[in-house]
Amino acid sequence: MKRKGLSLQKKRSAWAYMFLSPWLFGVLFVFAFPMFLSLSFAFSNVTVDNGYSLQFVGLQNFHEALFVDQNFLQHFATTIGNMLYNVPIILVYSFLVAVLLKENFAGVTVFKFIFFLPVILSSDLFFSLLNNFGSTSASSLDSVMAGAGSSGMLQSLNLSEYLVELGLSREMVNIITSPVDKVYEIVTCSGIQIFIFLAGINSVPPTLYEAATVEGANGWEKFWKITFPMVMPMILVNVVYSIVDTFMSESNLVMEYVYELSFKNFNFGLSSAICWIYFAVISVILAIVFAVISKRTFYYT
Amino acid sequence: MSQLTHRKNLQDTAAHIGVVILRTVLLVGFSYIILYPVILMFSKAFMAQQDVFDNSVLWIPRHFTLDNVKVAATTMQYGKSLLNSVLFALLSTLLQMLPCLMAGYAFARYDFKGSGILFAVVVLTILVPPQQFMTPLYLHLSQFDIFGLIKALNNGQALNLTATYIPYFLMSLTGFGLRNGLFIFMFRQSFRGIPRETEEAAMVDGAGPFRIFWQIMLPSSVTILVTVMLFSFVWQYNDTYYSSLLLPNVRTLPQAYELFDSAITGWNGDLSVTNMLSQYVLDDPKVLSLLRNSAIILILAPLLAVYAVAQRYFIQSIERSGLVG
Repeated sequence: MKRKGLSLQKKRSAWAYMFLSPWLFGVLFVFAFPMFLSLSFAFSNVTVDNGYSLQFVGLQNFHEALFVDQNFLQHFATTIGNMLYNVPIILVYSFLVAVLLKENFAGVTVFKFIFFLPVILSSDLFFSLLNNFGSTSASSLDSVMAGAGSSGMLQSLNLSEYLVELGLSREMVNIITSPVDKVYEIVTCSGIQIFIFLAGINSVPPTLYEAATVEGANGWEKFWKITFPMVMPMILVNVVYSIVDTFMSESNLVMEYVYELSFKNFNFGLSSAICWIYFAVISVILAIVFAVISKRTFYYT
Repeated sequence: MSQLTHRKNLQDTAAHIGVVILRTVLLVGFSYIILYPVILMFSKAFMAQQDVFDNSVLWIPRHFTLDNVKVAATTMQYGKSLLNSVLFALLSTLLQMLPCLMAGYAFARYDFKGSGILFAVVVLTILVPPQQFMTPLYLHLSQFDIFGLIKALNNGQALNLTATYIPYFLMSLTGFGLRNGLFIFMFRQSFRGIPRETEEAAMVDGAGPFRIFWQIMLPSSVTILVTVMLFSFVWQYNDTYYSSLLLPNVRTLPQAYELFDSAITGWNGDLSVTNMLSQYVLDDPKVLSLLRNSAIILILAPLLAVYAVAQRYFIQSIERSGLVG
């Protein structure tokens, strides 16, 4: 007997590709092809005049990015340093707030409304406003929001003077007080993370707590033995989200520099080389973080 | 015995009160940090110029005025720019949903050859900085040519597609707009949570795959769809990079703000504006700050309104699903 048409398996594959077709078209023409162009730019000297022409120069752009260019490495180090410093603080902060918001108390919706607000206000213009408070004026009111941080708001300046007088070294004092100065940055970066943690906390089966109560566990024990391990998978999600969010932001120093190189200096070769180095380093960092955390993550299934 | 339980109860109540106090202090403190610049923004936007020079005025304007807002609105051509911004964000959102939904559905429900690799590509699109593929794409489209064909037909001139809306529609309709990789991921996770039985029942009843997608999967995913659309709208509205690259001739709010900023920091030749601005002491950074605050309030107000109305979608959906879980 002859089989009619395609097998079910093949038919389903065909349907899958049909559903994917718009996106696949995008992968080819909007993503893969430009990525290939970017790679060829990175190894070439790009000249733009009524069309662009490429002249193969080997690794010269990479050499320039890493050894000649004075800005890239500096911006890159700042971005990575900020990330390494901010992500753990973001995690602790958002976990703390999630734990605080988990209970159903009067006014919890108001607080949820406020804590999610930074996600809505994540506009470059709004941040520029914060910078303008400080940079254009030295008056006491206006310098309150000095820099992206908020040194004036919490007066950590006085604190650090005090600590120096106590005999601590400047470096130590900086380590202690810089989270205070960065508090605004941290708080605004944590909008999504708080609610991801909240999802993790809410998804813990209540039976676990009931069993623990019967066995005589107190709140502290329940937190460390139940809540914390159950939320571990969300820690991985949040770390990855925070890292990607910091690196992809168009307002981070490297991305701004790339934009400047491409559209102000028209140095497409160098900007592509920088993008590839940047992308490679992000991938390595994410791979390491993923491997380290997922090994220690406990999955309740 | 009863005294003992009584004491235990008292201890519990005391501990509970302590927790409530600590919680309130922490939450109010953090909320203050978030709200501080917002409050400052509102206070400055409606503050008259003379209050800035009055050291006894700190937060609450002594002379309430709408002049700042009026000047900002006129200079930015607020109505027109707002319309452009909203249309841009709305249209992008609407166009992006279908390709993202379809891709998410394919990854959630179909087991096909290459699904693993293609899903890795989705993750890759999330991890690649937009600049990396947008810049070469832009450069290529500004000198668009297919193997010399177009040059031959067009008197040796390549087509400049960046002056048209073609790149914009190309990116939106193929699911490569702002953060679309994340949206595909979210849709996939949400589709995976829908029980297979409903689909199988529909299949037995003779519904084709497209009908199942359209009449069963989509109606069951309204919440996640609304959430993703809201996120997409907010992010597009706030974004400056995509709109400046893809819509060169359309003045959206961020571009209008840039014009406004250059108008108040240096005269740009527009007489109607200078007449209104002449009442301000534009050399003073504090006065400039008033005007900037008014402009940014105008830009953010629609977003705040959307958020106030739809906040439960934003918050509950992440809270329930963990965005990606």
